[in-house]
Amino acid sequence: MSSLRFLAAMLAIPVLGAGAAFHPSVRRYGVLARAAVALAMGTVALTLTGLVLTLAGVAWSLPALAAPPLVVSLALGALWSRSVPEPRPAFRPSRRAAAAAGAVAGLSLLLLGWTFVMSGATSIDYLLFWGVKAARFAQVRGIDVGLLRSFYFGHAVPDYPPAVPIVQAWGALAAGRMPWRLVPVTSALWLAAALPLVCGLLRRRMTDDGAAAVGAFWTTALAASLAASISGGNAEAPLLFFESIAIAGLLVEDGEGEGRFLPALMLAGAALTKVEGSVAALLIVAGAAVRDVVEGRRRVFARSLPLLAPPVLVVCAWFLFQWRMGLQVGYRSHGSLLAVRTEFLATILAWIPRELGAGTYWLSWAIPIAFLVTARPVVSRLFPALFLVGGLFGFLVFDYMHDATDPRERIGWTAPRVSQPALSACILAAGIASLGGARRTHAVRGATAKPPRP
Amino acid sequence: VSGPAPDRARRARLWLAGALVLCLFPLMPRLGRSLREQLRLPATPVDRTHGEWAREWLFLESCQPFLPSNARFTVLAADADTEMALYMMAIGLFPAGQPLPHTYYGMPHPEQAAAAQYSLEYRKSAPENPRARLIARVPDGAIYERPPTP
Repeated sequence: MSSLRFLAAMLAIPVLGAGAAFHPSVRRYGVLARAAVALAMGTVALTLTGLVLTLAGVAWSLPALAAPPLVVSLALGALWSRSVPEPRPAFRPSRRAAAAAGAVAGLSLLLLGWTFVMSGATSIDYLLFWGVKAARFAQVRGIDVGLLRSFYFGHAVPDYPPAVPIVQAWGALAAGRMPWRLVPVTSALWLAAALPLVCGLLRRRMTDDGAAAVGAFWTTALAASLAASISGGNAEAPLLFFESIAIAGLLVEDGEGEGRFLPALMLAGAALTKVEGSVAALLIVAGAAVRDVVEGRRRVFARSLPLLAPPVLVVCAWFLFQWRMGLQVGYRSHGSLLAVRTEFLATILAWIPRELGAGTYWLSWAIPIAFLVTARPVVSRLFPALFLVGGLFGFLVFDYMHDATDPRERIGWTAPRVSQPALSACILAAGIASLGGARRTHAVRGATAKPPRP
Repeated sequence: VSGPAPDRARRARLWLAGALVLCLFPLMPRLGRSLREQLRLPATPVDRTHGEWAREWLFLESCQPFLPSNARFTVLAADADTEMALYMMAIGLFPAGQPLPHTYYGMPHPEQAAAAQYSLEYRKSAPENPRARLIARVPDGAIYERPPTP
């Protein structure tokens, strides 16, 4: 029964952020895609509410945590629902494509869910800190500052951003206890929730059949990777959700006239989920800005600012909380920033690729790379994705170069997990390159996009 | 959308074929295992990924009914790595309790453990404190109440 209550609490998160589903740029998508946007908004709002309540000394309860997001959501929903949405034909791939893509993606998600149910891919970090924080937060009905401050909790990376523990604690509060075996299963829900929105975004650049096919591949590759990298119960699945949708949103945007509410919201979610989410947000924003400059779009800085501001603001909110509560402010680094060692560079460069099998003997990487190379795309158009791919691996190499001892072991247990957003970005970029490349006719009103390049 | 329509349709089919191929990888290992084994419900969240951690988790879960929810306790094991693992998991498994480390990252912290009222002893042949009162034996260990420190 407690497991069911936990599950119900997870499924209620989109309700907390339902207002986002009425944003003019989102109303053009189908119900499930809009529910994914609401999930993102609900997660961000719930996390910020958890911080504010703890700061204010108000004990967490379901009504206390739910009320502020609901009020904000209702207000925004009422405001946004007044605008007339852009008409958009329903997502209707051909019967054969829909059946094949649905079967493949459905089977992948089922297998992933089954793997999680059978405790076949539970992250050990979930037992050591993600779930631990959630259980303690639910117990003390707030962020357990005393625990985060304790020297004897240093192993649990107390500086990590708080979205995942707060979301799991929200479920544990509803359940009355932490349902340890069920929580990893909910990791599969993030992937399932992202799929309709990823397809909805992709079809702005390709046919519905193409979007269904790339969406199926994306789901299958990431489901296999999440299982192989043993990512149940940790922050990898939500991070993939946020980053993938942000990248897809930026890859398919029409031009200068289009708002960036969706990617900005997703980048805020990513920054609240993991430290790597902040790095990814910077890389994605940089990629989008450079793409815009190369394509000769106007107001690049002015349009990058609203994209960058939400992730920066939510990270500042977390740092402010740390400061106010007497915690160490900021993120801990792996040693001094520039104290890098070159003696393991060859090992690092050799071992990272070895760990990118993604549960499919590297095919999840090889197939999109083959599509990418053979499509000969306008590379600059893919910068929001490619900057993340390149930047993430650069960041990983730089991070491993701080290790005082042979980093092979650490590469073995981090690279398969941390590289997943890069895999997602690679697939999305390859999908756009091979099946899209030009803008569909459903341009946003007032957009000043350049005509498509040949 | 750019490119001739037949080309796009062919590429879309290739993407689908790729997805189908990827789908086989998680499926393949299951075909070689007995259905009975695959349907066996796990006892811990890490049964099939980290066998030793699963045993330690089960040990801690077995101790739960014998401790007050807000108990101050320490966890003892034969080696420091196991003690560390047990301590880290105990913080979450006993959310109202106060686990105190006997060792932390391999370094002894006896002053911490000394404040514990209970000790959960994992795979130890004899109690660490001979004056401790046995509360219960559980799979892979026992729970003791320590005598009050003078």
